[in-house]
Amino acid sequence: MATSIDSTALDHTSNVSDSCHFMPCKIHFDGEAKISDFFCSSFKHEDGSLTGKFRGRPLNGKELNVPEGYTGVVLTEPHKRSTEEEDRLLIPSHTFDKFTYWNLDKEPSPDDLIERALQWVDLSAVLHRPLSTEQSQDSQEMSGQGVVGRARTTKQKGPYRSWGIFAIHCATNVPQSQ
Amino acid sequence: MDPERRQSSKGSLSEEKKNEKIKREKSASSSKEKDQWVCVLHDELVKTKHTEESDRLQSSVCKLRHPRTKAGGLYLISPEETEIFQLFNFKEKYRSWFIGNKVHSDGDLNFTAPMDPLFLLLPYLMATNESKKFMTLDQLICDEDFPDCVKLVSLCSPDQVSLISDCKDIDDDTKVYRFSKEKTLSWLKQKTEILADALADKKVQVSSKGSHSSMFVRSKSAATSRESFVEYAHGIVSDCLSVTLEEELKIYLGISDEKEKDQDSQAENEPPKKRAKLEGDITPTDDYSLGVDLKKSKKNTKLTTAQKQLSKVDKSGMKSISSFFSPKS
Repeated sequence: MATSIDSTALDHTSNVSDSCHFMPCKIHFDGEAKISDFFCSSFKHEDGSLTGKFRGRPLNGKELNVPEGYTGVVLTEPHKRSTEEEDRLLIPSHTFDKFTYWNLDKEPSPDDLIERALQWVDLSAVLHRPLSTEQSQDSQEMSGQGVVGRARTTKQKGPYRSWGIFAIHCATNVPQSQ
Repeated sequence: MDPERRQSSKGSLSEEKKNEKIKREKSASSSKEKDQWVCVLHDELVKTKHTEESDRLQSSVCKLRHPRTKAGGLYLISPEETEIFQLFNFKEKYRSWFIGNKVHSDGDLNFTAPMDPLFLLLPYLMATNESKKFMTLDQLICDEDFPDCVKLVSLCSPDQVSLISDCKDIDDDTKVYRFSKEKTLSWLKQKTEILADALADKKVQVSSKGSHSSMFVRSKSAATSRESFVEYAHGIVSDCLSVTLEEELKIYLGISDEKEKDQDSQAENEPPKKRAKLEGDITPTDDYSLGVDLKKSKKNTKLTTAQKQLSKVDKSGMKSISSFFSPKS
């Protein structure tokens, strides 16, 4: 029933930082392809911007670093379990500490969803950092009763939900292999 | 040429065909066995010190009750069960990965973000609020649907738990806890303030009026008030809180729902209007209506010969021609 990640295998993974690309298109295929021959050869570095071509379409790329303290990992499940009760083991096959994300004919900007997603990681770390007991005690003495205001049910969802535009939600299912 | 391209070249698909296509794609991707996931994991989860003991320990994926949705959420726990991370799924409509020389059709990115275990503990603490009893962590954290919740016991240190609850020492080693609303609200307020500071530091757009592009140059920089940051931070914090606690925190922080129109309009100073402002009474320089008096009778118009002859005749018994064309009464 338990799902675990074998971190000892990390030493045996290949680092794909230079060849990890986040494409702006859905490709219905899994497997080997001559990416370096046909895609990587179209790259052009001009004035600090990266452009490429894929299937005749212009792409604008930007290299993004994985946030500090994190590692990009490609997890695989080599043995599919035969029953629901069996334990699952996920093994890292590749690692990366940066990757290139591509937009279709649009300059990469900090408004791009993937950039905001990574920014969310930093913000989340700030929110979830455990408070030190000293900090908390001081604030309890100072806070008093707080400000009294009218309780109103929020009719519309607050502005912070705009982070939701990049469909951030709790993964509710353990990655299904069936 | 793949079938999707052929269909689109025929022109717009009807709604039915579109739905069928989506169903086919969905079933195709779910029947395709997913066995690779691109993730961004915290180093705690993947980089372990290689001692004999720790080689046996591994990070685990657990299903725990989400404090807001009450449904299951996926969380990752570090090998030594000291830290917990929430698993997020980033999904854009049309994305795929190239990893080395391999194509990976699933364009999702799964990433982990740290999670304060107290947020996960809160629902259990609050559930026992009515009884007002002091309980140990083992007794508090019971959940039939989510057996992994026992791991929360080792994740929550007594110091941290005492930040949101009243605690007592029993029998030297045993500690018991009871939910404390005041402590919890104070703790949440601190968290919100720290987050608001971070939002201000990173200059995140928090205004409620539409979305702003970071590339749009404004003529005057809008100073976002501290209140907007606190309100925005409250929103983010509420993602980990139950609805009732969200409302209580809102009151505690003093956030009001009223939209301040003045604040918003001042925030965007438009470039000066091109039309020159007029001063004084606005009257037209040429007023053509002055010479005309509508009440005066019309000038005498010339009459035709037939009309002249008719005016000489006695018309008392005559019917007008239009009476022959009126509908039968």
